[in-house]
Amino acid sequence: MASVACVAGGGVLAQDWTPNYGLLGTPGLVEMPTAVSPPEAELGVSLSGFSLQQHVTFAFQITPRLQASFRYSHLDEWAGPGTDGEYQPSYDFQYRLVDETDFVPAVAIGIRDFFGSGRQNAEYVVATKTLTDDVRVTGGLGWGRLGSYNGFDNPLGLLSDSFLDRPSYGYAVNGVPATHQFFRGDAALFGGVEWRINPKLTFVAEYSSDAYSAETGVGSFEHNSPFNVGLVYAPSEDYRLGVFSLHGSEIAFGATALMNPNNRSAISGQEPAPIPVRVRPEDARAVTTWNRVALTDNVLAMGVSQLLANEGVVLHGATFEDRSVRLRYTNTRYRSEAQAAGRIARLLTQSLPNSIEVFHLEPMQGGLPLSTITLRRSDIERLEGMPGATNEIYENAAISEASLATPGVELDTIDEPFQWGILPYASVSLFSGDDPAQFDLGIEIAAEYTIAPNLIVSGLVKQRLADNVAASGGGAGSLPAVRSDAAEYAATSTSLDHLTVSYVGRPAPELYSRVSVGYLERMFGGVSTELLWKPVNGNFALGAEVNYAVQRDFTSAFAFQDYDTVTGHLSAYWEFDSGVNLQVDAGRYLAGDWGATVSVDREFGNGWRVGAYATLTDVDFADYGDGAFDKGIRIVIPTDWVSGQATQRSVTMDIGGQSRDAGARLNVDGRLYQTVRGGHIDDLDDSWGRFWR
Amino acid sequence: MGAVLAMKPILFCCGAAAFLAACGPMAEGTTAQKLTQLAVDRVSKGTPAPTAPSGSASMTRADIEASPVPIMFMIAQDLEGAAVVQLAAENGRRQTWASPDGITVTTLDGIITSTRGFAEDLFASDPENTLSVIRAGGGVSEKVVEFLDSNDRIQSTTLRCEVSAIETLTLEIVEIAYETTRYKEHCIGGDLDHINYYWAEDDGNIVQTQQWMSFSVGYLVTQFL
Repeated sequence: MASVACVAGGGVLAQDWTPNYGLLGTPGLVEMPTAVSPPEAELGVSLSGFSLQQHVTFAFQITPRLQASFRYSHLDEWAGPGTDGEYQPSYDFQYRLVDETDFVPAVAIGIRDFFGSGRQNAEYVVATKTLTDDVRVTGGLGWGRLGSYNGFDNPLGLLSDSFLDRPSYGYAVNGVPATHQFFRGDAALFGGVEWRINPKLTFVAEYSSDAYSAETGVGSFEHNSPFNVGLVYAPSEDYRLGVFSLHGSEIAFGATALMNPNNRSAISGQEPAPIPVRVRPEDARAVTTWNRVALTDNVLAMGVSQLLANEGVVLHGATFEDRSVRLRYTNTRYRSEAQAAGRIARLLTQSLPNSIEVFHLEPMQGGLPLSTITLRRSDIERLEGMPGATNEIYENAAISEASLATPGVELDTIDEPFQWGILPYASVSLFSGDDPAQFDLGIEIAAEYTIAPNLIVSGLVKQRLADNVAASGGGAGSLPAVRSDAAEYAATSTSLDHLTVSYVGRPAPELYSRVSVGYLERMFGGVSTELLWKPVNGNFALGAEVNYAVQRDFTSAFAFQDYDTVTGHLSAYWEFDSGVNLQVDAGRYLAGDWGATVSVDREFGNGWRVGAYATLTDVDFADYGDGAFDKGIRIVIPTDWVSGQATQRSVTMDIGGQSRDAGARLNVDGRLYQTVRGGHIDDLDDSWGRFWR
Repeated sequence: MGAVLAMKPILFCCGAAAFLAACGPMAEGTTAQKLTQLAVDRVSKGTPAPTAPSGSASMTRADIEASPVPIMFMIAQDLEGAAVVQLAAENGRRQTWASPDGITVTTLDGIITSTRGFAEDLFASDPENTLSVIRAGGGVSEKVVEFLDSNDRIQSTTLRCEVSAIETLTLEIVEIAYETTRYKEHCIGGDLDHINYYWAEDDGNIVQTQQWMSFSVGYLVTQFL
């Protein structure tokens, strides 16, 4: 590393040269890491490997310095030639400690396979310096797997003898962080160079400190040389294709697709322009009422309702005063409630009597009024199209609790209370345990009967056409089989997925409630109750959920089995200004185990969410089985980010999670926090830029 | 939003240069279709031309006068679209012009201040300083432009703009000749660096413009009919 720093006197910085993705799907040369970080929030999805080992990797740059990756690997012939391979998930972290300057290289520290069992376990410190516009060099010191070729006594041994030997993993199952191994045992040097031949083609060469000890030990890999070379081709900013020569014995390939939530293709969205503001003549603003006999509240409400329908907004109720109006509505089109409010406000300038100066807008979702957004009509008129209008309308708006009163005019918006639809469905579970992918495909028939906006009967029948659902692994079987019977349920091709009656309400200010009764999900029926405390202007919420659940029969649509339980959680939710959302759920899980789930999500104003979760309960790691405890990552991509068309839909990818008996929760529709938050100040604030869109 | 037409690259799906609102048998022979065809004929393809849009000869003053509301001709040079848009609303001196397929453009005394409905709108701007400088025959001014970013935040940039008179010329717009001065406005600020052109009469009345909107929309040309 010292030599790297010495050569680095040229005064060249990395600037726009983003990192290559190596064979492991993380920023690197071939197998060795580099200290260069991708742009913040870049998500790299890679397929890579050679004949013996293949990887799928999701690498996400959480902050400008911190990267986390999930990799799912197929390690063939792990026990020797001719033996079956293993599927292994692994999690990597890399943190950039030092930024590159004219004379100092970028320096990063990293851990590969954080929860691992020793298959890919490695720690490293790495430095990278850009020498010319098109050449950068990397050098580093590795431990574990990266300390296995030409290793020497651990320099950290100077601090303590305990660093000199690397203890064995020592746990009965994979998946427990092996902190006792970190940075211990022999260390080795690695390094390499990247040469950008032209903007699309980069040559990489490295000296690798990975001896492939385990693979060569069983005779499944030939390690002829520590040198790896490769070519990386970048046909566009969004893709990388690489071909590598590996240790003089193998040819490896890699393909990486890059996405960044911060780079939306249709930045403004492609939805049609809003209807412009109608400005009242100066003298008309002073009017204090209108002829309320000639134009009754009912007629006015019907007119507003028809107008709002053009924007995909369903009006549930309206209260008219001489100088103000209060509207209760459900926005069905726009992801951002702020955008819907902005459009509604402009429409109201077109249609309401001139005397009405104050608009109280109450967005609803799932039958629940979420908040009141109070706007002055004269602000809408004055600020339309002006620079600074977005901030000013936000400062002038009041965001408060939705009224608990019944609207003056209640619209019979439930024209057709019975709704139904037939749709294809595809449920895919990726990289869970020993299954690279479990899928379940078919068609579903959904039906819904709306008795009132907050009282809904809902059912779903699934006709499975194809699946490969298998029993999820487990340990010693000391737990009731609450999830591991998935294959038994999947044996029935036609199934009643759920049939419930659900009621939501607002028992008091800042409180929201839900009761769902019936066949709650495919495996359990019963009663689910939930109470949420969430102030409109707060960034903290508390919830409590108590359920009585009875296990459903494998085949019969309506019958139950003997197992029943009381399960529930206390939940706390924080939304931090940095866009990080933290959720902790502590309580009793379906199998009767006690514990907590921690979820951390990085949330973007445009609706993207990238997060990770882990559940620890009082079940022994050994009883849980391979993986030790449930953990995974979750990526939510809003459909409007991809298509540019206004929609509230999104795609959720759950990766790496395991449906085991320990740490299992009931799958209930309509949990309150996600329903309510869109109309509260944090989420309104996040997308307020769309108010005038 | 009335009969006249429409722009947006996506609409080119129903023909090389056909527009949604005047596509199909029911639109044939209508004023809308006629104006659309004129607009299409005038689409400036290829390299953006820094001069006036060409080909206004095929539109007549009678066509324009037949429209019940004021109309404006517009070309999106980089998107290869063109349209005749009509006045939809007025807010003080600001006028919002709309096309039936959902794009609006707002102008202030002839200069575009914002757009809505493009994939990357000019969200807001204030051209008062530019107008003052043009009326003074040239000079330096500042203006603020706003764009929405990928995370639904407003990004505001202050541009420093140098306005200079380039040439005087007679501009004919559908049977009316205007004695104009062409002004060049070079604006720099943040990561923006672009040139706009304005054709103004002696009294400062702007009859034609060519203005940069955003990275993905590029240049819009407006001609007041």
